[in-house]
Amino acid sequence: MSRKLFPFFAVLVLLALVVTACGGGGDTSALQGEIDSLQSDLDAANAKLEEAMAMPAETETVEVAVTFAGGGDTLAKVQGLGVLNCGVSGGLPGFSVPDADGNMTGFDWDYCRVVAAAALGDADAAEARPSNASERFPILQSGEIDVLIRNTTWTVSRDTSLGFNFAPTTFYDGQGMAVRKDSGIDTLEGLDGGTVCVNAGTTTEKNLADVFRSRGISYEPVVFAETADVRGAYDEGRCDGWTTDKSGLIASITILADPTAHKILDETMSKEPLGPLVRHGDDNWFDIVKWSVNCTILAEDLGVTSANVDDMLGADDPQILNLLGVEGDLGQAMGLNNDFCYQIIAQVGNYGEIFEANLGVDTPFGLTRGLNAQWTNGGILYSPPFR
Amino acid sequence: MTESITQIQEPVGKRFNWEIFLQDNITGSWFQAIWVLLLTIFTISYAISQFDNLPLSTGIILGGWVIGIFMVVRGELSLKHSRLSRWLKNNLISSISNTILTLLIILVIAFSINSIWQWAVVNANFNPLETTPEFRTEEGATWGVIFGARKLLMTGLMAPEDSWRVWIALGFILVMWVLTLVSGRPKLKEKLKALRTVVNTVWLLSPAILYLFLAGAPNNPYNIKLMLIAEVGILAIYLLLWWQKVVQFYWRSFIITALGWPLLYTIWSTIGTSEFFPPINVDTWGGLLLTMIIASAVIVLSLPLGMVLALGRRSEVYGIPDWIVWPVAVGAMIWGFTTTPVLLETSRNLIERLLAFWPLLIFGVAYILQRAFKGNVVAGASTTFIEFIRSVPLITLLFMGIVMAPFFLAPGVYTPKPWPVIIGYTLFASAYSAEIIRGGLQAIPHGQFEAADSLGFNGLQKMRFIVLPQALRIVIPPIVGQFIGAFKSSSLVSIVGLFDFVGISKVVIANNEWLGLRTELYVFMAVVYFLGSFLMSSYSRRLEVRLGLGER
Amino acid sequence: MKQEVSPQLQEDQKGPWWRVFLSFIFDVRVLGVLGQIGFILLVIIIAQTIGGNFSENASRLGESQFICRDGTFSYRCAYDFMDSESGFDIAETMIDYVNTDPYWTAFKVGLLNTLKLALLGVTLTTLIGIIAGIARLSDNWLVSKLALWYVELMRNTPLLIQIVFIYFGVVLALPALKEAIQPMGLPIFLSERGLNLPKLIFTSSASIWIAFLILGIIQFQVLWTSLGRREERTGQASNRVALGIISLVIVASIGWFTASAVSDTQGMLVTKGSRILDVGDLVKFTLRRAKVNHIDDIAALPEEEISAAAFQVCVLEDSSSEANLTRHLRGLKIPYNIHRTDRPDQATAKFADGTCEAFAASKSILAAERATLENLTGNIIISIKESPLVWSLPVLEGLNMVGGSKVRPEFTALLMALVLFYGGSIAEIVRAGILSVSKGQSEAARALGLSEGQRLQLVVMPQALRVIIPPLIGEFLSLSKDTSLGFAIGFPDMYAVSYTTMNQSGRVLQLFVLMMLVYMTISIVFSGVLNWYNERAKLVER
Repeated sequence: MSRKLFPFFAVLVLLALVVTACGGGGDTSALQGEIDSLQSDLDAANAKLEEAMAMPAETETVEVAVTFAGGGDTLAKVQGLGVLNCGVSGGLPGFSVPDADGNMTGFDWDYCRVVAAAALGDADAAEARPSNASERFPILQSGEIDVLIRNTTWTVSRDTSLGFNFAPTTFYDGQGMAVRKDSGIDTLEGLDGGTVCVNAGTTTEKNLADVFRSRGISYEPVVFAETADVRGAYDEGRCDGWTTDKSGLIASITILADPTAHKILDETMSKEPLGPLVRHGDDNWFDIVKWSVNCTILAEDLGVTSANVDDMLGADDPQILNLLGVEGDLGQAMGLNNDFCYQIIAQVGNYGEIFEANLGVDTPFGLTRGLNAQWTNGGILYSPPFR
Repeated sequence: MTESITQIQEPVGKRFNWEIFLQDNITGSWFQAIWVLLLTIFTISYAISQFDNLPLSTGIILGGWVIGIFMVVRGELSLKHSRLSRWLKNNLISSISNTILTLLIILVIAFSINSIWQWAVVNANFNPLETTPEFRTEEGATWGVIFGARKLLMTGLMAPEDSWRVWIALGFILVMWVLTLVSGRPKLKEKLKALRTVVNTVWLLSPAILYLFLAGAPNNPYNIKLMLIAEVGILAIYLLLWWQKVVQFYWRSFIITALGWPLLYTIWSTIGTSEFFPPINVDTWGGLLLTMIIASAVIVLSLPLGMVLALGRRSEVYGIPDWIVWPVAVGAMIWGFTTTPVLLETSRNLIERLLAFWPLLIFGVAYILQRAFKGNVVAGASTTFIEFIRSVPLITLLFMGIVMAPFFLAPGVYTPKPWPVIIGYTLFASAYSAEIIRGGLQAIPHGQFEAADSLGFNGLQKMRFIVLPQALRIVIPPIVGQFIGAFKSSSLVSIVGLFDFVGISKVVIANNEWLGLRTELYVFMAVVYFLGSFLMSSYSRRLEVRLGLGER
Repeated sequence: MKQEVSPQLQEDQKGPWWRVFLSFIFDVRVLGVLGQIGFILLVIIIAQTIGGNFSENASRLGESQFICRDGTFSYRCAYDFMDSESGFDIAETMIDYVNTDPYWTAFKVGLLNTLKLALLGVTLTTLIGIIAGIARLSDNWLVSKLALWYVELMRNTPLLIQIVFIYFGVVLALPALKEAIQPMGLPIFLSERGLNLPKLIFTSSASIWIAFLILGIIQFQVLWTSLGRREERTGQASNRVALGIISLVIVASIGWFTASAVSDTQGMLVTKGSRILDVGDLVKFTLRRAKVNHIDDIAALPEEEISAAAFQVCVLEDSSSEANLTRHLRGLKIPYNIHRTDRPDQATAKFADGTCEAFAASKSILAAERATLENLTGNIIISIKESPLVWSLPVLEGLNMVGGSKVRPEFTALLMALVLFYGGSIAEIVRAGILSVSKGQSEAARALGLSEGQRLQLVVMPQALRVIIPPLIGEFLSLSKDTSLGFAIGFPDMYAVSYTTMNQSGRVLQLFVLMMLVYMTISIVFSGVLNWYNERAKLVER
């Protein structure tokens, strides 16, 4: 064809394509959107049906139209994706640290699996998102993760001005100070004029400043962003003392060069209640996380373990039957299956099992339950009833 | 030592002048005398202390030094230097201070090499199973950590069942490299022309292929809208290039261009839905893999972007004329000033009162645009972007990318960490590349541009056929230096929390077996980076030679 | 601006209207302008989308990021949070800072640290770079090869690895504080807690001395110019350098002794019963208590007896009285024990209840405090001579060194790493600059009989500087931006302080914008100054 006509031909073709893309494409995409949402509804329904088939015969499932309290759609998103994005530390032994194969382990990580077992019925559907102290809040605020279980302290400013809701505390901790045994320091006053290693941007740093100021102790802070650097500097002798949550100290001392050369001062500098947190604006998701945690606590209180949970399905105690979803519609009110707690205990375990497996006396950390024991055992773990 | 200029028949010994000798070497100036004195004292004390530590090697060195002096002196006195003694005289024993300095340096080097050798090889423990504290010694390295942690160091936290991806990717690169070498051989060039075309095409597609291997194709449905819009874009660009006579219209090339994208997109989508390469969580990339991915992505992406920015900065597109800019600016200012009274009322301090007059900023922007850039938005935007990026540190960009990206995207969109980092880093590197390329463009003599104009080349043709080929050849050394810098600076992503080669060391050190083996890891990392950079810079030197840089 | 009409267009204007229109549209210039306008619109649309996303995300947080003091939500209150208490401590500050200061002060502290590191780093790295660059071109094969390996090592390993390695591998490998290295017995202590150096403190009598100094300098200047004129007139050397320095020293010494003799502002509050009328009486006092005959015998006594015999004295924090008094006490070899308090009334209380036997401070403070004591006449104030400058020596007390000045290991490590790393790049630039000076210049210099040092200094370097300075500017800017890597080893530069603030306050965007603006300002100012210098040094081209 003539070279001169080519541009007109080309322009016509382009216009045609543009019209197709914008105009027709638009319609198609609107339709496509409807199809997609219907498809995901269908998938969700199918998933529920399959779960119902897989459950033991004693439970009966009834399709109930669920209205979520307070708006928000995290559960739908999680169930749609089939994956729970869980923010963890990724570098704190005992709480969340990858093993040599790269698989995440730890106390916080097990609680991620607890929430995944509740929301998705599969504890292994949890995906870890390692984060440092500064990005943990933005990624929760933005929706990149669904729940943050990263040994985060429950404070009023985080609860209000940062826009989060804190689920029940999974670990009652306090801020402590580690020093070398041969330094002869027994109290915080003994650190007067010394140096203290601390993590940047944490409540630990703030508490350290406040406590030392109120007691008139002068010190030089050595501040790092990464816990590994804090630990390394303290180990090399750069600081006289190292402060963080006592559980973190106990865990990390085990990986110092000479664990026996260090001790933790008796004094507790602040309260550190650690637990999971979620965003404001999704009351239903908050309830789910809250009651997943409570499930593990109450299960230990009632003596339900992962070993005997199947037998417990036929127990006489109505509390246990309510807990495991044999009776009542507690799960459905949140949009979950009624046996969500059964799944939690069966796949992960109750509080005691999670604690002992990650931090207990058989682990290198050897923590005693202390405040983290049941209320009947001298601790302050106390779950509201499942009723 | 003094050397006479004219030919002398008598041996130098008879005409040796002690005064001149001393003058040249020691007493010529105060500074020289003090320097020689200090050197002598220092060297003697050091040699004595070394003699206590390592008598044998110190003795050998001293002996060699004395022999060297003898050779040079004999050569000087008899006017007959062997090659060795001439070299010694010119390089090592040229004056008294140099001679003493040589001895000192050799002693220091010997001592350092010896201690490093002792630590790294003689006393070291290479057993990967013996890395726990009871097997470690102060004087020896525990290299077992490198072998033991090799999976973490190489691929980071990637799941073990996904490591086949890395092997396939490596195999792919190896095969491609071999094919490129083979098809580039001068003797086989003609016969393997088809192979060369295929190889080049595959290289062009290699980012997509490697992404497929390493990250898996996403399982998204076939997006007709995306395909059509991209197709429109490609055809528009082809049309533009044809219209500006940069590309000639051949049916074959047109069809390939037009159908290439839809075909590739269809293949991509099919692979995605077929579960051959299921997508993995890109956040698990780590170790050397992540470093290579980030460095390669940044290098590949920053060069074209840098070229665009450099050309944009130097562009002489007809700027938006005053009679369009000023009315719009004044209108916007007037509209803006309607908000000023309200802001003034509610202002609480001086700064807020000043900020109430924000429409003046519009005036400022318009003024700069018109005066500094003559209305040329392209040049203005490029320059502003380049100068802004070059004035902030890299980690602020990386950190901002990671932390702010979730805020700037639609709510709930999940961004794996490597992407904002790569984007931020690419922007950073492209600004620097743009400056380097601009330097290259400036180095082309004006005559080239003028000759191109006189031959009737239009703007795009001038760029494509005359300017860019010359400019890119000139900037290869600094650009490769920039690439090496990008490779090294990728270590900064460990500060923002990515577990790249440097960052994964923290995870390794926290492991029970490898506690605190920081030195060994850092030495290993330094060696790897050194090797990588060294290889790249030697390749660039060979490339310069091959392209005949600096010869014309 | 009148648009020029091309001849082509003029011709086409004779044709049908649609042809004119098309040629107008397809004119490159018009398309360019339309394209640029489209580009601006695109940028505005993208900004609006991003801004919309941002405000939607921000609103999902309950508008927490922009909450005003009164609880309302407004973008204007973006930086209000910076006025609240910071709550964290910073180890290295150039200005006074406590953790009750607002975030703005903390930010200033970080900024000053960054500037200090940048300026010091730039100076030192130029020095190292020049030395290494010249070494690269040395005659001695070994020296030039060493310099080459140094440059290659620096240029091929990442800066971050070098920083961490130097910090953890070198600086922290120094001995602990109690076994600090003391070169040649001087009061300089090098340990893993840092480098402790003695510091000179200006006392209150320094003002008199400085007056004398100024007088001396004026006198020096007068002497200098008058002797210089005499030199020019008579052509004879006048030794004005030696004469000037000697006269300056004489005047300064006169001033010193005058100041010491005249000033009478320092004193010590003691009880009359102690029978201490001046510092010399302390010798008898201590000898009596230690029950020895000679002051040198005290050192031979066991530890407990020495501390029992030690002179207990109260001083105020950060006052020069402590340094002044301890200078006397050290000179008299009297053991002493210092009690430091923040406020004078605390010290007086300790004096009153007997914890301290004396309170050393300025006489005015002592007079005021003495008036508050019950037994007015039972306490006297004795004078203590002071000299204008006093050494404050670092002494190990408990866990740390007290007194003197301290250079922290983080600062040292970061400075060393930056200086060495950029020294490598600058060495290459210097080498290129020196090589750019044509060989004829060096040959001519040698022919004129200039020594090697003179050749370098007077002929080569001034010309080489023109080529060296532009790339040097780039290196300086990179160095000042790379100070942000101090974050990795705990140096509180601006980035580190901003990071902590972000975490403590929860606000991210505002701090990023602020930080970026400050870095941009630093870069612009720095490069402006250096470019101005470059303009002055540049070759004037035809």
